[in-house]
Amino acid sequence: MKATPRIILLLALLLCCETLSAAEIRYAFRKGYTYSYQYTQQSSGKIQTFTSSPSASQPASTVEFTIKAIDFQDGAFIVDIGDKNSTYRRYLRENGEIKGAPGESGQTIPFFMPLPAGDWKVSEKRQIKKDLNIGGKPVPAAWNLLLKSVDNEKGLAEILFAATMKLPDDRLRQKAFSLKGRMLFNLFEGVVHQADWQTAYKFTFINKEFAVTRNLWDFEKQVSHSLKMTGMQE
Amino acid sequence: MKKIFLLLSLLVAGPIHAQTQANNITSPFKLWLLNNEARALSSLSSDEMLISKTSLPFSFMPPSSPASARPEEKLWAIHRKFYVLLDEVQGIYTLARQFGNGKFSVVLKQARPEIWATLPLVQFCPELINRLSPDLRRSFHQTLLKALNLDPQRDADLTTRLNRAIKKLSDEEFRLLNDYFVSFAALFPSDGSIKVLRGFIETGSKKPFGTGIKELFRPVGSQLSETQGTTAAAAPAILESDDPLAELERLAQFDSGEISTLSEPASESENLEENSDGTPVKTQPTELEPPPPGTDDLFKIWD
Repeated sequence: MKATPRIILLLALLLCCETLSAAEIRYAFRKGYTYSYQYTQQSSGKIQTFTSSPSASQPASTVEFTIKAIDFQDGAFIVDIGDKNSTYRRYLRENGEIKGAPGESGQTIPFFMPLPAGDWKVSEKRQIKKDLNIGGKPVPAAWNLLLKSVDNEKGLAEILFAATMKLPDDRLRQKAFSLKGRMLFNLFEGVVHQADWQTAYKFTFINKEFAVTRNLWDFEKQVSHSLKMTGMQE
Repeated sequence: MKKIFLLLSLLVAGPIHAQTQANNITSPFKLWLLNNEARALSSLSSDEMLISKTSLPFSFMPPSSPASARPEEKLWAIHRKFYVLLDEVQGIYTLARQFGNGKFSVVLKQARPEIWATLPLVQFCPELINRLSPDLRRSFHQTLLKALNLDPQRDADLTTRLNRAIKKLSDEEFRLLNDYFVSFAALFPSDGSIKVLRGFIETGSKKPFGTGIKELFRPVGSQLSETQGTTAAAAPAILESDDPLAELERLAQFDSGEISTLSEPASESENLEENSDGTPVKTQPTELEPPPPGTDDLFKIWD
């Protein structure tokens, strides 16, 4: 009989922990605020062709940009995203999807990573699929997300993400693309605090005539991306 | 009338086309490499476009991003060197085929336009002939070299020219070119041009070939030509037997129907006819020879 209150207490604690290990993650840009970010990209690549392997690398290049939150209308943040060269007006939903991009009319808007709606439990995986329409042909793509941890004290959620995309290939052109990364989301401010991700692309080009097959070129490219919030001011 | 012209043009165009095809040893390989480049470029470009649609996960980032590394540019740069080399090899091969056996220089020496140009002067001013002939001869020779796009400095030694072209590639680049040759030969075993091309680069860089072209740069009446005048007739046959091109041509004829239109080196027996007593007589002189002693040379061209 003495054990019953202890079990009840333990169950209550477990329930409490379960509640704490879930979070609703969504963007919450504050009207009139300017968010500053620093984006760094570094890339390298090589081609293997028989015994030769020409390679190239691009040193780290850093770009600074700002997000000026203008308003929140019809479920979308109206923001001006700009670097020193240009500014783009975008309408962003709370989950990060684009509702509108008037400055980019006629262009194919990229498939950005949307955040899952509602409560998201730690260790829970979410997948968002979409067919990219390029040249009239659908290319299946998907974002896979995993909420790894939530630090309620610091207000940071650690999210792992990966993109998969089936590049068009055949027997003579074999391709692979992968994107893997990690981000820290500031739950208090509703913005991305930091993110790092890598993309890898491989393309094998083969020649075949009747029964003879020759592997001609193996292209490989890796790009490292890093995004860091550097400031937030009214 | 139009039909006759059409027939004539077809008759003329046929051999010209066949000759061009026969001399063309680099185009199949070059087109293969260019075609592969085009296919790879197309794939890389469309993939890059797709990747750009997912490589930036956040919608609050500006669309422009820094340029990424493009290792393929280095490969294309190496290929551009290959194309330059192949064009040079093709040029050298064509020259060697056209003039390397020395036959053309013999024909040229037989032509002697300065003789015919001064014929009208025989009656009126014979004393002018000796003064005009050397200048006419020199002018004709220089004009002919220009018309044939021949440069004595560049073309006198085709082996050196070929080696100079090959040395523009590094060892690694040359190995890559050779690997491409091997792949092309494996993929298209019936294409004889690659065997000729590989053989020409390999043997041509080591062994002298097309040495008969040197005769072309020596004008008729020059000191060296005169000293060699008596042996020049036999020179083409000797050059041909040593020429690696002859072997390559036989290889091409054996391997490919397309290149089998290559003409066999003319044998000495072609120019010989049986006399009534059975002794062979030359019907076509291969070299202009000085007149026999005792007969007056109208133009004194051998002085």
